Amino acid sequence: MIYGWSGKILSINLSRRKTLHLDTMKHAEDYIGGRGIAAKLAWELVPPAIDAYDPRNPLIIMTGPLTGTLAPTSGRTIFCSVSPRVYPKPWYTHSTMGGLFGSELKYAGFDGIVIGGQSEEPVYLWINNGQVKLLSATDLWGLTVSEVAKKIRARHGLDIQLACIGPAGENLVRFAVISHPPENASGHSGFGAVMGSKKLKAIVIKGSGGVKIAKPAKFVEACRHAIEMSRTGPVDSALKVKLEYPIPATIPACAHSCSVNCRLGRVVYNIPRKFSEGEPIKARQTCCVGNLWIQREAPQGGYEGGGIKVPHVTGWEPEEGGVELHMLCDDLGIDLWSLLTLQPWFVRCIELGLQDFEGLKIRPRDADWFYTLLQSIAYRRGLGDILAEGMRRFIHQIENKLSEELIRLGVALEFGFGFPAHREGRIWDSEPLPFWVVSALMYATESRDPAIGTHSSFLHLAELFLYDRKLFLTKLRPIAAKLWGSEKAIEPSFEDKTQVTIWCQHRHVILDSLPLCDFSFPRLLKPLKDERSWINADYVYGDLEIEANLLSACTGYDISNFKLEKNAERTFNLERMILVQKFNRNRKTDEIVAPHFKLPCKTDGTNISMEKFRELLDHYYKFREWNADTGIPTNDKLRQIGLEICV
Amino acid sequence: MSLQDKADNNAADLPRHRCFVKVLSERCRGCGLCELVCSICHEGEARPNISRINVKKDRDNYQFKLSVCFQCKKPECVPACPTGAIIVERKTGAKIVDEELCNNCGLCAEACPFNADGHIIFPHPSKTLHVKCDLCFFRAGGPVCVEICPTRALVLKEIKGGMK
Repeated sequence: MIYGWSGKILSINLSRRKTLHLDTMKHAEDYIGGRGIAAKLAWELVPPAIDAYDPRNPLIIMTGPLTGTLAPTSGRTIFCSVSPRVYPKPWYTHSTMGGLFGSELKYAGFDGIVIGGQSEEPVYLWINNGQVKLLSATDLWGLTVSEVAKKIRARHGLDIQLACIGPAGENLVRFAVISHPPENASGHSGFGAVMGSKKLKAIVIKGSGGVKIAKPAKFVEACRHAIEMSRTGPVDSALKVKLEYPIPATIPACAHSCSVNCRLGRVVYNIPRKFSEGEPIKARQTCCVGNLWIQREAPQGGYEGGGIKVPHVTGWEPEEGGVELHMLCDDLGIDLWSLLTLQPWFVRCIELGLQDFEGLKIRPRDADWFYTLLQSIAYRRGLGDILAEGMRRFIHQIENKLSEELIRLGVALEFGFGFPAHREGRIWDSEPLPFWVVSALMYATESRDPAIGTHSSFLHLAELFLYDRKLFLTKLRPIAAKLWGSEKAIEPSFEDKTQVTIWCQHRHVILDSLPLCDFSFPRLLKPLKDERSWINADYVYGDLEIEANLLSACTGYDISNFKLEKNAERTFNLERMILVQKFNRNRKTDEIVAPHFKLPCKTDGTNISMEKFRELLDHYYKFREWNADTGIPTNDKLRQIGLEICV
Repeated sequence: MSLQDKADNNAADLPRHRCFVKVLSERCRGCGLCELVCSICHEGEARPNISRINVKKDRDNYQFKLSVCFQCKKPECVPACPTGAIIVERKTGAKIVDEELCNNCGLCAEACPFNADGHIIFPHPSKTLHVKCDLCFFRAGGPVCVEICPTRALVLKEIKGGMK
């Protein structure tokens, strides 16, 4: 009897229209699920130096052993493939989403789907409890996400789950998302375009099975403990706990089995339409999920330093069309973050006297103008055709027409191999030392922007640090000594940040393999009621065994936190070897992001020279046992962690 | 030992009133934890479609509708059963299906006036019997869904004297 996992992964080749089943359990113990098993499959399946749109590029969709169970926030899906967004050349990376898609896939009897080949005609995949069919999507091709959802539900019923692409994916926009309507998406990595290149419009799932639990009573207990520990929401937490505990508002859970009422959105209200006819829109004010985009003028908005300036952008009020712009992105299947990089860049163009592009007048503070621009990107019309290549490729293509500052600004906005700046203490967020150093090391050594999986493990702690530096250091020093072997790891300095970085990276892999949400786990700190209880607490250390306990009770395997972190190290190194062996990743590539951190930090003005950055990398490679000159894991290291396949 | 005796012996440590799980759908966020914990506790499997409580999730409109047995004072399901398989647990008034006696005829499901969607009493997808909410009579703490709900959309309600 298999518990937790379904036991099989559906493999489908769209060129040959053939399916087969892969055995999940072959990889389960060593790679757990999600990103782990995906890495193992990618190692076997991805040919060297392949382009994202090559039919041989597999789109790997994975769940984990906890998906579809009671484990809080476990209803997540992990996508892995060669990403067209990566600059200058595509390489293998990952992207995750919440919602109910992953759970439904498990209930239909599969742990994952591997999609290879390329269909000649538009198709969609219909998985009905283990029955798999490729159906014609000729009538769906060209439709927006909400139109597809409507048609598919009319055809297959209301209780299906759906992942699909919009026009942006069809037209190979490099930041096209895979949508799981109404409000979840696998966004940054541009996998919507990979689906588009395969002529795969949608994946529709209906499942009525379940996930068997090895030790039900123990599992329920482990879940209750996890729910209790995470009841305060993200630990960004410490501060928000103080201000907002207990959390009164109820908002829809963004992932199946999410117990956490995190503050990613809360208000539901009716908004009149500006760009279209129809009923008022029901929307909620939100940050990362939901369907209202408005970024109010916040203290962290805007940036100036190192010869560039990021203007304040405020987005639009709902009545100005802000909600509809957000919905348009969802409908076209465009990564919403593109608004956050495009708008300030165009605003700066105007400030520097550049009023138009090849006859197209720039009006970036005008919602109408953006409404049209987003459509021209999705349908690759005019300027939109170049913008659809992503900010970095766009800048590269037209650099002879731009001032140096505009070029540098464009690079800074998407400096991380074509991924946007996020939680690196400069462009969007204000992490001071020591936080941005950890972020910088992660940017240098990962395949995409790293903050997506490390909110609760480290980066969100910056908010507590900024709120009360002394309280933060007093409480965190003992934890730093225990976890990272040095109290200095938490100090605002450049010392001993490698240990924190590696730990964060491994926790991220664990979360993406089980899977769980990084806004809630790991529980580095225990939930405390208010500021007083923070001050009075002797020891604020949380519980890092939660993940291992959930997994053990669910699957019946006896897995400790130590073993889980070892597993994560294996996966992380395997991902590195995929990049090294197939995409020529090396130390030189890692150093590409270093100049970004010469820009002064928004909060404390600190920065790092190329020379010092190299020293950080030296230290990191040494800890990882990677070759100091090449940044490639040594053979000894690979053998030691069970990666003989890579030697 | 008959189920009635078992139920009486193990009955949830609750007062002698009619109890039921009251749903406050407006508080529901659609996370589905109640369905998952229900199916795990009853069947050892996380499987929403064998949960005795149901969440109808309309994520397009942010509307979630919870349905679970009201444990009626004058239940239609009990007299409808030709084999007497639905017993009334004496402490809480929970209407419990005796797995040994149920012949899966479905008359209880038809008789229930609240079962139009088939979420209150319904055939088990892989066993030959019907299932419904039993207020977790086997647990001292009462219904597990009430305990797990993170937004308190589920409340254990007692009607004093409801058993008389």
